[in-house]
Amino acid sequence: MSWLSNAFDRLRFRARPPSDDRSRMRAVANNLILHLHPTRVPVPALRFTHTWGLGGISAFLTVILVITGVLLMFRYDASVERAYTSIQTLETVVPFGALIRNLHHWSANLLVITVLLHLVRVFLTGGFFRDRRGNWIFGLFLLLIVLAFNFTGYLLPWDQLAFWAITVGTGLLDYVPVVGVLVANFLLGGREVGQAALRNFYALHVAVLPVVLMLALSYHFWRVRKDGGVALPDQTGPVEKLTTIPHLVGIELGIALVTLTAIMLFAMLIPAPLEAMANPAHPPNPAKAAWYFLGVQELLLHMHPLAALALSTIGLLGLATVPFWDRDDSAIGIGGRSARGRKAAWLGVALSLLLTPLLVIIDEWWLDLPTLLPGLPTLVSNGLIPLSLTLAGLAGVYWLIRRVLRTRHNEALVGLFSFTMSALVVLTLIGIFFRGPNMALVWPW
Amino acid sequence: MQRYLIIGFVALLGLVVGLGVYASREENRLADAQANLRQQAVSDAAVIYVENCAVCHGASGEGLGSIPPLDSEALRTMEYDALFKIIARGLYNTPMAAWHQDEGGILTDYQIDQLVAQIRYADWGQIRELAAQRGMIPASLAVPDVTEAQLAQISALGPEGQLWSEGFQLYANTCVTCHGANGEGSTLGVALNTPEVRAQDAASLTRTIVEGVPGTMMAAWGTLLEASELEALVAFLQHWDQLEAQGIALEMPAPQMIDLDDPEAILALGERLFVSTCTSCHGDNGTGGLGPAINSQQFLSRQDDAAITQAITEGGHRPNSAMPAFGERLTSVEIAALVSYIRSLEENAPVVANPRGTQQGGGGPPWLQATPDPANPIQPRGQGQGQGQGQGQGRGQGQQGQNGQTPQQSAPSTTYRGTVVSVEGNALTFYDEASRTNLEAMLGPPWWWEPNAIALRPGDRINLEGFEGEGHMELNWIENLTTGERLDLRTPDGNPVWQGGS
Repeated sequence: MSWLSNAFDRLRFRARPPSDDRSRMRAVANNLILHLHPTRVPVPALRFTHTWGLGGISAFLTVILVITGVLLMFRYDASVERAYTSIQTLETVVPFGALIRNLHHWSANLLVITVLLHLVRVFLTGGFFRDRRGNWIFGLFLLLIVLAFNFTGYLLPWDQLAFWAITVGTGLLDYVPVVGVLVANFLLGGREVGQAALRNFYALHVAVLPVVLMLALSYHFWRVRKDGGVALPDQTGPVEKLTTIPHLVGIELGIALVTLTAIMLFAMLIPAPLEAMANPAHPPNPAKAAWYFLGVQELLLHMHPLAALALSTIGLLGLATVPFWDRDDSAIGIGGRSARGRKAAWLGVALSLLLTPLLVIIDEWWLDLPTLLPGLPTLVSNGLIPLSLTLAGLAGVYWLIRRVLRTRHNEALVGLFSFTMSALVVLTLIGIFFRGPNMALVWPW
Repeated sequence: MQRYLIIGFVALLGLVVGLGVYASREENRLADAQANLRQQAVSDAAVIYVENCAVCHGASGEGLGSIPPLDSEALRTMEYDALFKIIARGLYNTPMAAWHQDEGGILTDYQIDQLVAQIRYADWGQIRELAAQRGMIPASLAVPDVTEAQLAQISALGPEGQLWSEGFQLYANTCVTCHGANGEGSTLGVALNTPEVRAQDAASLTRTIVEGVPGTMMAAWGTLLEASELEALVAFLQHWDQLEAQGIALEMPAPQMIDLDDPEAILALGERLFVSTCTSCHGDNGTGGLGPAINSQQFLSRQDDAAITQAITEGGHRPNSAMPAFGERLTSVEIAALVSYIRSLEENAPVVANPRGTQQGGGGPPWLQATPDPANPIQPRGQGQGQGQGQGQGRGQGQQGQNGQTPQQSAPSTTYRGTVVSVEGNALTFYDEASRTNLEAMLGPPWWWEPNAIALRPGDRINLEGFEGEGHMELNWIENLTTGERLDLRTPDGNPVWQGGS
């Protein structure tokens, strides 16, 4: 197979490929793009199952999104009258226009999944200890940017799906005390989702957010490099290292090609959704947010919006402060901290798969706190109480894992983390598949 | 590393093949997608058309009076922009109004695009059908019905009565579209049923009709109306008050929205159609006449819905059957409503001795209708023992007027479930799921609502109970399902909470 790598080498280099390790390292160091990599990489970091290539796949998807996004800009018209028709034109008149839009749409959706999995992987292998603390928080910031990208992009086709998802989504902001209405008005350029909102979202999506993302992503990469690359277990002896060319670059190229093929085939086979033109007078039933916010929307059905927002914020802050919760950095680079930690993780998942649907069903059909506690304002009976109960439940899960498995603090945290993440997944799945008209629970088939 | 490169290379090969296949089909895909959009545009346009255009141009674009038909080859071959501009800006000196939002109308670019698509591509016979599929049953004709009784009544009014009745009919067919059924005028034309108009002499009225009024939508009718027709029309206009004094008035058939999920509404439609279309042959209440007695156990137990549908759609299946095929005249929704109405008769349908036409031979003579008795077979050529007995029940006994509707205890308050569309001050607009329309409700007086308001954001799901107040809906209570908040506006005995009380 050496002819194959020779062929790739000839694609990669202008002249002859460097023949010895020293010149290979120099090639990396002197190349603008490859300079993101160290010249040599530890062998364990090259193992695919250590990272699953999620950061790389996310970065590659970002590149696809930039390219297809720029192409879409040539045909898109951010006006209420013409946005929808411009998408229709793109899909039916412009050769490969539909493919470009499908690619952009599905890459953006996949990106949400890969960055979340990236976060999970980094948490589980302890990628936030020591110097990596800063980059962990920065990564969370990047996650928010990706969500902001998706949210602003969601409105642009100006179909029913877009209009009502954004109306429901920004409607949530109004429940934030003091600043909520101001922020919503600022973003939408008024009270309603209309021309001003469309233009604002377009500007955010194609100008403001890309600049923020470019700076933030560069910083993220730079920090990965400066913090010592992929988090690995502490070594006692010398670590075996291989040159970046060809080992790391070859793997990256292979994974990038697989990702590209997968997303292209998916985009060719499954068209991005486009519903009827937005009609502010006719809300669809049910009016759902974008799928990645359906977990939060599901929370809304069980507690006051303010409580749901508070819970989401607490979850996010909890993640951001993980380096302060878990200071035992001896477990760095070990998946789930230890064998018992991995067991705790599975226990957390199992508990979550059991408890979350159960609680949803109980709250949906039997438990009605505002009626049970008629004397209290709804903000307390439907807000503060469910919120405290949920937080108490999370504490209970932590305590249970510690007691049952006799885990240490950091292993129980892994269990709690996997519990919360699985709960989010379960809530999202319920929101996507099990919520029908009037947001009532339905069987999806 | 080799392994990854090989997998990547294989994937790349797959991608190249996939792209090749995709590219080779792209042209077809584009064509199909465009055909789909055309289809979509025509379907959407049907709704707009029925709501706004059918009143003048006819439910199937056949044109009414002097208003041109839209189902025409000339229009189909007309330039896109020309059609668009006519709809957007209106046609000077004709009743065609400007419909674009920029011109003071109500339609957007997108909607006008769809209407143009309809004119160019639609199968007009299907427009009525499509509109019906969406719960909109257009009036079959946009002109009001003039009954023989009305004409006779007018003719009896005086020596000129015959002339007035001609004018009355002409007005109904030609002028109502713009001037209104009662001459009250509209945005398109001035009021005609006024003392000022009656005060004008015949010559000046005639001149106005013949020459039209430049700068308005009043067209010059001189070429379209005969002199005798003009005379009748003017005479009618001058004596409208006398007709009105006799209670003779025109009623406009209005397009009706029907909730296709509401079986009661479907039954009501079916009954209306049955009475207007079927009873002339099948007898009052379907008791039989020229056609068979539909309202009979014999008919209804033997014919399933499919058979009835087929008979209505394709006409009678017996040779020389007088039953016409209604498939062309009624939409599938109407036929389905008819069938469900006919089926609803079954429960209370009488047994009719001789439901004509339902059996070959009319059921046989009464003496041959006796139930055969196997224990006592009749001996040929011997003394018969079994004497047949007819069960003659005359027809016309089944006139109970059953239509499956029980009188409703009309409760003053109704509970609604829906979604907030907007809140402006104390006026709530919400989307009602049951009727699929937007309704407005008052959230109490502003001075009370503002301090007591609960959060209502567009998109929030709400429950509420309200009743019809003076010109708007008043609320008993409202509940925001999204936040779980609930607000009572009236005590259980119906007193507003802002008028004292707790």
